[in-house]
Amino acid sequence: MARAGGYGALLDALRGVTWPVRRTARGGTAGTHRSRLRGLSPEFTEYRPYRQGDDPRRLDWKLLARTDRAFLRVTSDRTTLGTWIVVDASASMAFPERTRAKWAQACRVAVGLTAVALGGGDPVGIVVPAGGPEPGTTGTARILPPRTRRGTLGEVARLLDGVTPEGSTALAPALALTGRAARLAIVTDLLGDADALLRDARKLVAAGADVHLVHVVAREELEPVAAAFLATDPEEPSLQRPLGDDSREAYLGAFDAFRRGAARAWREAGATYTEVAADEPAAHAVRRITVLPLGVAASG
Amino acid sequence: MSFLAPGFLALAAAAAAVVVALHFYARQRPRAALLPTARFVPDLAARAPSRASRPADLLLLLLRVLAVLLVGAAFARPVLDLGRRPVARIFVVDRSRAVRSPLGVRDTVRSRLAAGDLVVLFDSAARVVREGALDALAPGAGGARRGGADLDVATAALAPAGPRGSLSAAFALALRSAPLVAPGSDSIELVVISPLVDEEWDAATADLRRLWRGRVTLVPVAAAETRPVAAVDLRGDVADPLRATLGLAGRSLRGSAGNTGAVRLVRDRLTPADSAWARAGGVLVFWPANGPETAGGPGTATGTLDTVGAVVAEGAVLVAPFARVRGVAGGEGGLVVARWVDGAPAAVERSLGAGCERDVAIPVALRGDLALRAAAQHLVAALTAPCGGARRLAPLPDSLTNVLRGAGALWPSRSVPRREAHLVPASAWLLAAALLGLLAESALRTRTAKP
Repeated sequence: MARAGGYGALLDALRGVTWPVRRTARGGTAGTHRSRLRGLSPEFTEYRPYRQGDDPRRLDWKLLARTDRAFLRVTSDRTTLGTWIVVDASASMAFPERTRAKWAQACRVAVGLTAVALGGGDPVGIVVPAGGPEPGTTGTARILPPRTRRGTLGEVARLLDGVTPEGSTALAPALALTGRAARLAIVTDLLGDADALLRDARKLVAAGADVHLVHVVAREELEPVAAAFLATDPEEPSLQRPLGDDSREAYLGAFDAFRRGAARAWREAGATYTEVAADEPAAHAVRRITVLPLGVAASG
Repeated sequence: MSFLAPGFLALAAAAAAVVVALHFYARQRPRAALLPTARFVPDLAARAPSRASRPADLLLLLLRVLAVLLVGAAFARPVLDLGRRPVARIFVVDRSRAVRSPLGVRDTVRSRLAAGDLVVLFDSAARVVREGALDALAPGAGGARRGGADLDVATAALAPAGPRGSLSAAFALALRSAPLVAPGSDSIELVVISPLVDEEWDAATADLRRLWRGRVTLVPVAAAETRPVAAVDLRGDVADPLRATLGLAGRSLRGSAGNTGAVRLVRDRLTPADSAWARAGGVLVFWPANGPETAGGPGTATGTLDTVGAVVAEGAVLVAPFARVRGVAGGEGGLVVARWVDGAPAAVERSLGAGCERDVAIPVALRGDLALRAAAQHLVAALTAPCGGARRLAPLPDSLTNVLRGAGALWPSRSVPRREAHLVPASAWLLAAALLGLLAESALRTRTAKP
């Protein structure tokens, strides 16, 4: 497992990368993201004719004196964006058994996103839901509230390093822990409570949050080994199905359809969907996550 | 070891080959491996055919093959014949009245009998000698022969009996005994130790001999001497027509009761002295004269009148309108020596001590020439014959002895008809072993199937 000090190369590769928000942010703290609020910032934007009810303090008195017309001076505010990263730590993330490549990639992506967000001055928090005593239940989650102070990145890395993916963990309840997050990144393989997660994410998007889904997929899931074996679900050991030559095509088709369906559903919900292979360079994956989709103007 | 049904061995070998083939190309459960996306795999059967490149589960394979072979061996019905001999012999020993001396027969048997041989004694019937009766005649474990009391027992077992011998009965029992000795030998030799006299041959003898599919070894022994025709002591009316009949038949007559003649013909009433005389070895013929006043003794009066009747005895047929004023009952132990043409007994002989008693219910007319006919003479001769009937002790002609001897080889054991199929003890043990093998296979398979 990579330790906090083991992300150096990744952090170097992500230096200078920004994570612009796709919409105006709600918040008053000065930051890099464009705020919905307009007011007293020295950064002039435009004049607007005075309307009854406007604050007379915002009148441009000099302009009124010169032209005898009442205009308000409109400025753009810059604010910070509170960011939560939710990382799936269910047993399916500990795959393959030998390398746990999915979990390692999830950790690298989470640390990378944290670093990028912190680099933009945004407070970053992390939630790692823990499995309950029974499959599908939620135990005590590991939470690190959003903060911008120095050392936050190291705390995030240490928290992730202390987690062993196991059990069957529901992610949807973890979204409630994030409150009214301005930006939310969910790192998961979508093999748990995917429907509930999408439903709750929809609510967050409707509330104005900028939601990003990072779908981690192992290479062995995309291209299973050629030799026939009895595929066993790590979160439900009773589910065993033979995967051989006669069922490989059907499996690949079903898995591909699942991924395409998930991507469509999440995008339709207003979130971004990024599929990240476990063997993909993490820096590259983070850049793909943080880049704005075509046609979306950066607000930061 | 030999097998009664070796075809099952070949069948078991073929089945074992199939088991081995299936072992290397079987529907095996593939190895289990984690795959979080297993839910996207089609839900097919958890077993798939696969060909093993390297033999695995050899112990399982061994147990399965062993079980199949054991079942096949059990159905093949193995026979353990540790003491197998090239030739098994059945001795058919004559102990009828035709044998002169049991000592001669005993010595003959003693000189030829070997351990494991089967001995059949015969007179009018035949029986297999019970185990141990002739042990003194067979070589012991060390080749030594026993003597003393054992020899006496053997001699007594071979002592001639009263009845006439029957080679037909001897061959019938030899045929039935052949399957007993066939499994332990390659061929069977039948040894007949007998005087081979004329009276021992009957109409069925040749047919029964043909059923024995091999040559027969004949060992003649001395025949009993032919006794002169015994004098008849007739007790009855002086004018009894049977006196004339006996005279014409060449039988000498003695005077009165108490004489020492070998045959006593009683025409009036039986007395206790008559029975005592018969027990001492005489032939007592109770042949009451005609008329209700003389009827008596054993038997039942029937009153049947034959308009055209006849009586048959020892080949003699006397035809006349007989009035059956009394009857005789064959009963247990009775030997019918004369019959009416409808099969009813007309004269019955019963053993009585060392002798016998004949009860004759044939009426003889006081008048007429019935008693003078040649058929009547033959009938009277038959009814006054020694106990067991007239003795024909002339040696069999060569033509008949050649028929008995036959030609060619001994009877091969493999062609002896088998007795009704049954499970031999070795088969039961083999089946039990196969069952144990299957249980072990099941336990081993269950243990290896566990993850």
